[in-house]
Formats: sequence, C-alpha cells, structure tokens
Amino acid sequence: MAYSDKVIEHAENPRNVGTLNKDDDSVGTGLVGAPACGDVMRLQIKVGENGVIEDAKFKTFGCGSAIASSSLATEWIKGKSIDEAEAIKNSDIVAELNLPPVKIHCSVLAEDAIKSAIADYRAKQAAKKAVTEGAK
Amino acid sequence: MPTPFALFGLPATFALDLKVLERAQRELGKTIHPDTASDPAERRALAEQSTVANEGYRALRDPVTRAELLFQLAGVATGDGHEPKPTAAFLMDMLEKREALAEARTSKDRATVEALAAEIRTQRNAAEAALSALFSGVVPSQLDAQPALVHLGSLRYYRRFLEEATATLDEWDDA
Repeated sequence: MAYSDKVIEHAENPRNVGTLNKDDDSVGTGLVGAPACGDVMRLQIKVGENGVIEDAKFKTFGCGSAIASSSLATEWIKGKSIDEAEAIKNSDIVAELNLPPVKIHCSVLAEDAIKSAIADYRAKQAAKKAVTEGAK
Repeated sequence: MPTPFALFGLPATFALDLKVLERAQRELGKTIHPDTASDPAERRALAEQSTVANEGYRALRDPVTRAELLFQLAGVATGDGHEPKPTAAFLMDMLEKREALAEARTSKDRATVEALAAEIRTQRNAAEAALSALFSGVVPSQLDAQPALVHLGSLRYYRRFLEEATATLDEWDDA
C-alpha cells in the first residue's frame, strides 16, 4: 500500500515530538491506543490562561499513518482555543493526509487523543478550582 | 471449507502444541503434494489445496491469528471498533517500554533490549495462558468474550514490541 506524500513527509519529519510535564496543571495528557494494531499514542497540550493551546507534543509508536495523524494534529491545535481544537474531526485529518480506508482508524486515534488531552486538562482545572474554593 | 483446525485434525482451541501442528502439517502436505498427481487438473486442485493448507498453518501458528479464528468461530467480531479499549495503565506501561526500547536502540544497549524483550515475553506468556484458559472446554456460545478480547489486544501489543526488539538485535548481529 502506498502512502501519500503528506503522510511520508510527516512520518519522516514529525512535528512536535516530545513530552510536556504531565504534573503541570496547565498541561493535559491524552493517552490512547488501537488494540486492533498495537499502536499507542500520547498527545499533550499546554493551555494558556486565555484558553489557547500554547504548545502541543506527541509521541506515537505505530505505523506511518498514525505518526502522521498525530503530527498533523499537534500542528493544527497549536494556537487554537481548546473549544476549536475539540471540534477537529478525524475526517479533516483523513482529507488532509489522503488516508486510505484501512488507515482511517489512525485518524480516529488522533482525534481521540486530542479529546482525551482536553478532557484531562479540564479535569485538572476543575480539581484546582475545587481546591481553591474549598480553601475560601 | 473446513476450518484450519479441522483441516489439520486438531481441536478448535487456543492451547495448541506447535510440534503437533507441525507434524499434522507435514502429514497433510504429503497427501496433497501436487507432485503426487499426474493429471494436470488434479495437480492444479492439489496445488490449490496446498495453498489453503499453508495459509491455515500460518494462521494457527501465530497466537494472534489463532485467537482471531476462534473468535470468528464463536461469532465474536474482532478488529477495528469491535474490541475494548486498552486501560490507561496498560497503555502507559506499553508507552514507557517502547520509549525505553527506542532509547536502548539509540544507545546500542543490548542488555536493556534483551531485558525488555524478556519482560514482554513473560507478559505475553501470561496473556496466552489466560486465553488458553478462557477458550478451554467451552462451547463457542459460552465464551467469555470481553476478557478474551482484552487479552487478544494485549497480544498484538506484545507482538509489535517483540518484532521491534528482534529487528533491533538482528540489525546489530548483521553489523
């Protein structure tokens, strides 16, 4: 099966590979996996006071399409508000990377990773708020 | 068409002695070898049977495809969207081990690659033992599918990991 040029480009030069401090309460971490192929993907966001994603990092162990999907996802969400990032659909990733049907699950994984990172960030903020209010 | 298990005269179960499978494949291979026929049509038919037998042998040899076959026989769908998501703890463990493997690969640390592979093999053996127990002595309709599917997912992760570790060691051996 042939990969599209964009997939190859992202897989060979992945953007934003790395780690953010998962204990920082402005960082949300999403950890997702596809048991049907044995892929694992971690996507992290650092959110500013204004609700804008300042930084995003990922680490993916999987096929070229999974790496490209998560690389593209981090590129897209940087500079977006968390609400805008949450609206990204896997079909957007499929269209941009020209993924074949058998690789659509890679884009689903990337969408899940974004949503899971945002959910983690929101849970941390809610916990922080509860602590602050409890102290009053 | 008979199932690969039936083809080799083996019970449809996960616990499979690979030596028994190999012997059954050799025996079957002798009876359907295309060279045993002189008639061209018969030769073609035997060649087709040999292909089916080879595919069946490969499917049974690999624990992942063997489990997938058994799920299929039990009427349980596998693959994309049909299997439970791995737990966060499992994914964390796999991510950390894959990262450690990647680091060991970069720093050419053979002892670490071997130790990680040994650890994963232990985990894999445990998952295979659990699958053997779940598939043993049950009629397909009574299969406890959810925990079995979790183990199948884990097996794919372990297989991926071990392929990576083996490729790394082979590369170093060739160098």
